[in-house]
Amino acid sequence: MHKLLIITKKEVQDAVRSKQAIALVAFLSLSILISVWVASASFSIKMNEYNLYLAALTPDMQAQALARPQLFPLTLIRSGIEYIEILGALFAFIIGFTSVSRERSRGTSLLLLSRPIRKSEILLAKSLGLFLIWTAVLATIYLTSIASIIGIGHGRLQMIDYVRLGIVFIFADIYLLFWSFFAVAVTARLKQFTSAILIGITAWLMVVLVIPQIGDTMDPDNQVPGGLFGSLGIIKSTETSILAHFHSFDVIRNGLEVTSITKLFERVAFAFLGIKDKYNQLPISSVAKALESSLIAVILLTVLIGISTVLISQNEETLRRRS
Amino acid sequence: MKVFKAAFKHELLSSLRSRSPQLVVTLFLVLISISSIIGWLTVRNVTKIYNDIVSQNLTTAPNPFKNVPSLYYMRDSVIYVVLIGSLMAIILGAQASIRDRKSNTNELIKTRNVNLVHRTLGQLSAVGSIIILLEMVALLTSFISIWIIQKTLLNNGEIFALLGYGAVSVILMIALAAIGYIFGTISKSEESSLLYPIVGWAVVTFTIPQIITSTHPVALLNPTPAVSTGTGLAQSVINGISPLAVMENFKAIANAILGIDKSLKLSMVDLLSFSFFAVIGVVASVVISSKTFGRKLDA
Repeated sequence: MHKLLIITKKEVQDAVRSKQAIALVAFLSLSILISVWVASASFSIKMNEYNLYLAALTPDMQAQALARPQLFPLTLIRSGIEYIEILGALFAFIIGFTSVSRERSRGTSLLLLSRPIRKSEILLAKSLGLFLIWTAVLATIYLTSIASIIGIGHGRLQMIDYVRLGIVFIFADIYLLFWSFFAVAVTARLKQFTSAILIGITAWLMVVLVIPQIGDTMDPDNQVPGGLFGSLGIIKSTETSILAHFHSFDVIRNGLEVTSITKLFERVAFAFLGIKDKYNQLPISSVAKALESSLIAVILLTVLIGISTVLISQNEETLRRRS
Repeated sequence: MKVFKAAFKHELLSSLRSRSPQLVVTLFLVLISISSIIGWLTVRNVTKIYNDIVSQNLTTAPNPFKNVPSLYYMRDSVIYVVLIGSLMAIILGAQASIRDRKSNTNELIKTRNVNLVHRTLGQLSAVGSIIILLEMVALLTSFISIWIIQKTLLNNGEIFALLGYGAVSVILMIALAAIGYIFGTISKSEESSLLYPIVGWAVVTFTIPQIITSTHPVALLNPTPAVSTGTGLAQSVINGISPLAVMENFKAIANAILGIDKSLKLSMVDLLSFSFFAVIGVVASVVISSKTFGRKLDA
């Protein structure tokens, strides 16, 4: 077997044997189940309220009643996607970190370096291993999502829904790989494991939580319950024309948001799943065209961090146990 | 008391010398400092939008931000305490207890007649003092920012509210530092001493409130506590797990003290749950850490 594949195989085997990795995957799957259960219970309550409202109307008023709430099954996993965004990124960092720290603390990295294999090849093989691990994890979560939407949420999925969900999970794979690659790069480069963890946690806090939170805070429509424009009785077309006068503020807000790969992934996922109303039920090609820049950015950022990981290995001290 | 004083002094010195947590500490201070400015910019922008709408005769509704209280600009700092302050506290606590294990000085301590309860209390008090100092700096920068934004000083009532909010933030962070301290004592490795409490923090911050309120995880980054829209769970189950939603309890208390959202009332349950968590966190830390002192780290 090619030496690169041997390391990759070992990487996957270590992850399977590691209780930590299995616990993390179980936690993510459980989060999806809880999300679908909570969302479907919430929808049932909404339906019951609607039925009560309908029953209270006289037959001639029922014709003018509010529209019946509609269940779009893919929207049931919204919270699950948010868990992948937030906790998935943290777990991806942990798995990437463990991949390097394990070798260094056991001293096997020194053994590996004594063999006729380049450091860049070691990191490349590890990256490939991480890709395989995340693909397997997300395939499991994809199946869990489908089973929970059908079994718990009682949603009916069409063939196109499976494809939409598949696209989202492919992007989830790319997104989580970004965090694992980042962890590998930071851990391989730094002397102390604690420093790697602290830098990782700080980066995770900023990219996953703080930047999107600042972006949301700066969104005028998030400032008032029910939305600013809704509370002032402004219709959508007027809202757009008013916001055109405040373009520069929105450019700054949007500029801040797109610096976060998490926000980019969220935009992609919410659009394909129809969670964002304006993309709901649109053909996949139209969604892809509208989200073109976010799609490219997520892929590009992951590729760049992957290349950086391999480049970092050119440093003499990388992977050596120094502390 | 000798042991307490020595542990306090030593921990204070070691924590201040330690470079590892500096990044998170800096992030905490910077974000708390700029949070009121971000809030002010947003309010100013919303007011401009409102004025534009009024000038076109499109609404007669009052400006939602007219007469916002001065401390409204502090609302984002509440979420930064939940996100960054909490993690900073966990890291400071875990680092305090793992330091001796890494340098093997715990072996030396075991050979001496040292009261381990006093020692743990001394270390925790030192970490607590650092947290109080950081919170004071954060409050001072917020006070100055609001002064510049409003062009007027906070009145006495607002200053008391600010100090009250600072005290609640400190209690939350000290309790979390104490929990971090436990993990620093019992974990097999330095990495797991940080990772396990952080995963626990994520569950308390996102998963439990979602189960109780059916709010999406990202929406829980809102500084005001989530309002339940019904999850289908029995009320007895919700009542049973609500005390675990520590961060939501903290947000409710902070909101009530700062007067950010007048429609949200503080419940006695929130207050009691939060106090109970803080007391349990510190007591558990002292008991567990002194009972399990001296565990070796994995090679």
